Amino acid sequence: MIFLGKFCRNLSGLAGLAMLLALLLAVLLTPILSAHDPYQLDFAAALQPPSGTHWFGTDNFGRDIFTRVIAGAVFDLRLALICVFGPAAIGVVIGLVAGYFGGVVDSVLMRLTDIAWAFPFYVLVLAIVGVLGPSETNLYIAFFLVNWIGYARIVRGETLVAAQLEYVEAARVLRYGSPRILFRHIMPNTITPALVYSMSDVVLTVQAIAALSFFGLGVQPPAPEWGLLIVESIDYMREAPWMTLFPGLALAWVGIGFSLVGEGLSSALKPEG
Amino acid sequence: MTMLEAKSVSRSFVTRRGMLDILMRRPPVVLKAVRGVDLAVERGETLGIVGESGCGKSTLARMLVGLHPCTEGQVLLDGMPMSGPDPDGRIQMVFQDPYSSLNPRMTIGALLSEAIAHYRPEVTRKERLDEVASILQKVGLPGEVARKYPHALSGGQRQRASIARALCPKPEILVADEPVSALDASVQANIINLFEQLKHDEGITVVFISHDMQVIAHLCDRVAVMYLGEVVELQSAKPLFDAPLHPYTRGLIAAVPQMDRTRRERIAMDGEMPDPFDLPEGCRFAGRCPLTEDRCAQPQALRPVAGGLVRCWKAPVTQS
Ligand SMILES: Nc1ncnc2c1ncn2[C@@H]1O[C@H](COP(=O)(O)OP(=O)(O)OP(=O)(O)O)[C@@H](O)[C@H]1O
Ligand SMILES: [Mg+2]
Repeated sequence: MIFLGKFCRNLSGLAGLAMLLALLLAVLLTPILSAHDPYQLDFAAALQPPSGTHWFGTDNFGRDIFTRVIAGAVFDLRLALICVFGPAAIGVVIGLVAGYFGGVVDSVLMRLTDIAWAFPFYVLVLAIVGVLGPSETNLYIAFFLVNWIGYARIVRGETLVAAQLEYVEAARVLRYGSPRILFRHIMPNTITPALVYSMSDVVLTVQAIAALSFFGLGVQPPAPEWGLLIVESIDYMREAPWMTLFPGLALAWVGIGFSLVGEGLSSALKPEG
Repeated sequence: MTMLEAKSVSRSFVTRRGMLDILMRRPPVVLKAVRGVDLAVERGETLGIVGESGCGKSTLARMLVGLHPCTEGQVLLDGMPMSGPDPDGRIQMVFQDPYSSLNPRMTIGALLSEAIAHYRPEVTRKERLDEVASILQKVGLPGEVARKYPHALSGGQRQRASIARALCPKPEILVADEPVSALDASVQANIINLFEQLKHDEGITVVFISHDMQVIAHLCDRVAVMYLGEVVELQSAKPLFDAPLHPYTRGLIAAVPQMDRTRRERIAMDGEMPDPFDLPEGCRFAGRCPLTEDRCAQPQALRPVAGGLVRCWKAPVTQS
């Protein structure tokens, strides 16, 4: 695999991968290393600073913040990855079809994209939450309605260029079916920018999920979601700053990790001459 | 016997209109890249198509393989009208640019297997590998090329790989659109020899497009000369190069010092090709032709003379 070799020669990509793997390792090892339960209340141990037993301290209900942050990683990343790669798959297909078939198909799909694009995201979320009430499901609905747009646009642009190339004409002379031409010949050559974009999209989406929960529009307590952890900490910022600090650091950790991996991918995935 | 026939095919491109053009009610600008070309490709022959850049060679080639629809006229394969590329793969194409004609994300072996599997799904994996090896050998590539990606190959090797892919469906006709013009001079001869060998060993019919008169003279049995989307001369290679009938053909030959043996009536083609959007009424070549007379202002038809066809009233009607 040339790709792996090239990725490993890129320092920032490697550093980002190390950060994400460290987080994964922490998630996997926490049930073994820590005796605490992220949901377990213990009023006697409320608002304790970080220590040997509670590595990141405890919150106002005496819950262990380390295990809550780690449980939050599972929670937030699962949500973010579904909310990025689900819509991304839809957007890629739309972009390929619009760019390859052109004409009316392209016009219709791109007008659809423009409409979705013109809709401000938070207004859309407010509308959905207003109608359906705040919940995790409604977060999915909101992200699936919006997150495909970037991919559709990027992939369409790339496809317009690739569809003119002679290897696509060769595939058409060979009478390959459109699905084969789109997914086997065009997609591998147009997906790179979308893949790179998806890394920063994960970062934005994790932050949006946290922000929506922060404002009470998304995930509801007592879920160990990072945005919720932060909003619950606000009243205790003076006595127990660790309640805010660690979920905040976790958000930043994930953000930096994915951004660096994105950088590594973009340099490793450049096709050769 | 005629295998592939173009019957007065034309192809127009409507140039893209911006919002402003529509608002200003400007009429769409139509560029007729190929106009009323009649061409018959006989079984086993190598037909050359030659002409300057922009005369519509690639457009005609793409209509012959079915990549472009014809705006007017039709292309017949074994007497049947074609709509799109032949489902049996009887016509394949070799492209000009070996750097963009191979999918950069697939190995050469994968490219060839894919084509074989598409036309003969019953072939087992192992038989396919053997067939890939034999096709690579046929085009003069070592077997290990199957495991390589296009970027690891030289221009000449890529063009061989591209020819190998075109051979996978066992085609009867290869349409080659300037297959050597992107290659180094030293490599060009090798690829031309490969075409000769395919013609000889496989009996493949070839439509060979080039702007290089020497290449055409070396390889082709018959030659069509194109100018501004039209055929201006069509005849067997030997008489065409020995005694060209159309002043444009003479000009093309005279432009190659090694070919201009006779040096009689040296045609100096000065000037540029006319604007294809705004063509002269009569003979399209009149503006550049040193022999222009009043009669050239009338439209010229392609007429039979001495075993060929020519679009110039000055060509002698019959001699032999
Ligand atoms: N897709 C297109 N849209 C608009 N105009 C086109 C298109 N393709 C070709 N043309 C025009 O048609 C004319 C003929 O082009 P074509 O590529 O067939 O010429 P050619 O003889 O192959 O030239 P070259 O030697 O440069 O390859 C040119 O004027 C070109 O600009
Ligand atoms: Mg061309």
